[in-house]
Amino acid sequence: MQVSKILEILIALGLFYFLFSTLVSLLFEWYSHKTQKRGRFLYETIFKLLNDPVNKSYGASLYSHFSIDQLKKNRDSYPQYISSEMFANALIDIIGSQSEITQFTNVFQSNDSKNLIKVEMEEFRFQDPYERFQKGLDAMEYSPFKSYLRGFFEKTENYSDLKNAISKWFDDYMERVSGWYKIRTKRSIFIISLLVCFALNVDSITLIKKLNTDDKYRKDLVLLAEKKVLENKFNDQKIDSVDLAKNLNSIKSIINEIEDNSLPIGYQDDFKELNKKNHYIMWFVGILISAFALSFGAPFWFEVMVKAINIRRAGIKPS
Amino acid sequence: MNDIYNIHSHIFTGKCAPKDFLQVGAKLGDGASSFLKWLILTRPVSWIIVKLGNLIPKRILQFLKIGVMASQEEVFLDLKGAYDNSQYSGIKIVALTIDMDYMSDPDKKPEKDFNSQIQDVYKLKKTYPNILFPFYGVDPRNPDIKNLQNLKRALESKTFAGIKLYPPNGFFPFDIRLDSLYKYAEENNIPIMTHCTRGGSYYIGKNVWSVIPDNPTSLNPTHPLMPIITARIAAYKNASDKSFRENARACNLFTHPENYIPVLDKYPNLKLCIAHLGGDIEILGLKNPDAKSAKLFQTAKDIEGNTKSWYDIIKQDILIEKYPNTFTDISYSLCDENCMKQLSSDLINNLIDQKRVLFGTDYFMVAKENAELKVVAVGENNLKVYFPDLMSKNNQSYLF
Repeated sequence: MQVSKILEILIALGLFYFLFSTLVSLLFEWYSHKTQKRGRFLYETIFKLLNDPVNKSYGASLYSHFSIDQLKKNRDSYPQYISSEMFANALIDIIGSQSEITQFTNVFQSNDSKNLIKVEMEEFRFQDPYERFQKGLDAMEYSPFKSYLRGFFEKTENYSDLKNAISKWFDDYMERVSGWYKIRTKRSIFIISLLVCFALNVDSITLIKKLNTDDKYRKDLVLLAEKKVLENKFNDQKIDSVDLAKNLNSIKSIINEIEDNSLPIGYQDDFKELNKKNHYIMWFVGILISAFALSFGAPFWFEVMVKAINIRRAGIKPS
Repeated sequence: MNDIYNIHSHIFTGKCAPKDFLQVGAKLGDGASSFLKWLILTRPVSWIIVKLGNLIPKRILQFLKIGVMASQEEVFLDLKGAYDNSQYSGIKIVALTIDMDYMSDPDKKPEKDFNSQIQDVYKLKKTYPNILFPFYGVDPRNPDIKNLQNLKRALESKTFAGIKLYPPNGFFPFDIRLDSLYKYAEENNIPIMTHCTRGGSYYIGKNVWSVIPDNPTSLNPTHPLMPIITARIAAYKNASDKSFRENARACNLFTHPENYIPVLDKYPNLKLCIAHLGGDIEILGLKNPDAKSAKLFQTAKDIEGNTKSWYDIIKQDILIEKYPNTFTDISYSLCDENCMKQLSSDLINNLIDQKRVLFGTDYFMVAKENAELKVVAVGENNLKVYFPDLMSKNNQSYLF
């Protein structure tokens, strides 16, 4: 087989996988939004970070803190994102609040010592937040978490430094959390890819066969891919995880692109023939290959497509 | 009506309970119940429960609707809201916290541990100082109880108005680790509320007998009742009816009202409320229209070697002159009209000291039976002239 033909097949496949990966990404973002996957994961990881079995679950306290609670869209949602500054402010306040003493006094009716008229409240708290944090730490039992927080206090000299140190600690942790999230989402993306491939009968083996045998079809797809790359149109593809209507429009436009070029997808007459021939195993393998390929994500297939186009162009003699 | 109290309510959420909490009531394995609790607390399912809870007044849905609420404040406001437009508006609410960190195996600990539950209540008390009177939950297995530091801070600042014990979660009320707590409570006139019914939640760890020693340590080891209590443990362990060896019933060993007598003999002035009048099974005994409950009463009575019902033990052996600060409350039992009729008859015939009976509903546990105001109405309709004192004077004298 000629090298140029292999490159053309690669470009066409890249385009094909890119379009469907975008569809998978749209569905995944919508699913993540609806199930609060990201917010829930953030909650679990912050919960783990602030877990202190000796004192208390500071993760639960953080999410009950007024500033974080206000980030919730509704009563049972989880914030999708917490800035490091907000995290640091809330944590310093929670630790500091352990030094607070609130004294209540029951005021009874003068002629009836049991008849309560009102309850008076008096708060005793340190006004300097840095000192308040220190006193809050003093009120904690020894634990690895307390020891870690004490380290922040000992290495800083004022509230601003303390806040910066805790913010940096949170940012570093969040970098790792992003990695964990990517690993966790891979499985979900593969399942969605598999569902898309089954629903639309995206069979890689059939496609490769068609690209290999139908020269006109292959060249049309390559032209389309080159045009799109030149226009840089794909990079403008935005995913809106909130608005389902927008997502559906995006999905529709991608399907139109596919239909315009009559890609071999869907359950049509030739699929019935496939059934007759009992080629189920090959069909299933084709679906699995497609699902696996789609789970790599749209950016990956875009890169593959661009690189293959550049190599192909480099090989053509200038006129 | 002025200065009235609901002396027995709960405002904790599902997150404060162990992961396998749904084993209580539903006979599921711990894996299945953990999964079910996770499922109920997931957003789509809790959303459906809330929506259905608003549309269908099915009792269990109402209970689950409260259980899936996001915060203790939300639960508290739901209870407050139930009274706001009624003749009981302005009622003061005693919210009983429960330490549930030890009611299951360590790997099933609640998402929101006890200290976080308490921290939220601290904030709530600051927001609603005039209507919220929380009680501090105590479990002797919590190492905090050794020096009582956190408890004293909570009570002496008057943030918390009393102490809550929940023995069926896995400890005996006469546990030696509670000795200093009772001493402190008696010296400082601090009210203690304790659970006493065959129902309710219980220790749900895999091996219930790991928390029931054959010969438990007691703060009053030479008390004449201790050998009887030890014999009762052996009787449960060897019961021919295997259900008495399992968690739900074995935990009745912790709840038995006689367990408080060694405590009261050591601390006779202790302000102690044995809640629920002992529960419907023990109030109605063999007269219970529900044949299963009547049979359970008889079987349990035989195994425990009781000469009288728990209700009678409370009336005749605990609410007596010897212990001047003992009380009972009508919470949960008030939703059963037959129980209220029995209590009314005993009040009329002076078989129970009317000054020692308190009003409470056991919100939100009682949501499984009926709406808050409806259960209050059952109590009021049956106890008639006694009812206002239960809500006001009696609750005041217990609380302050």
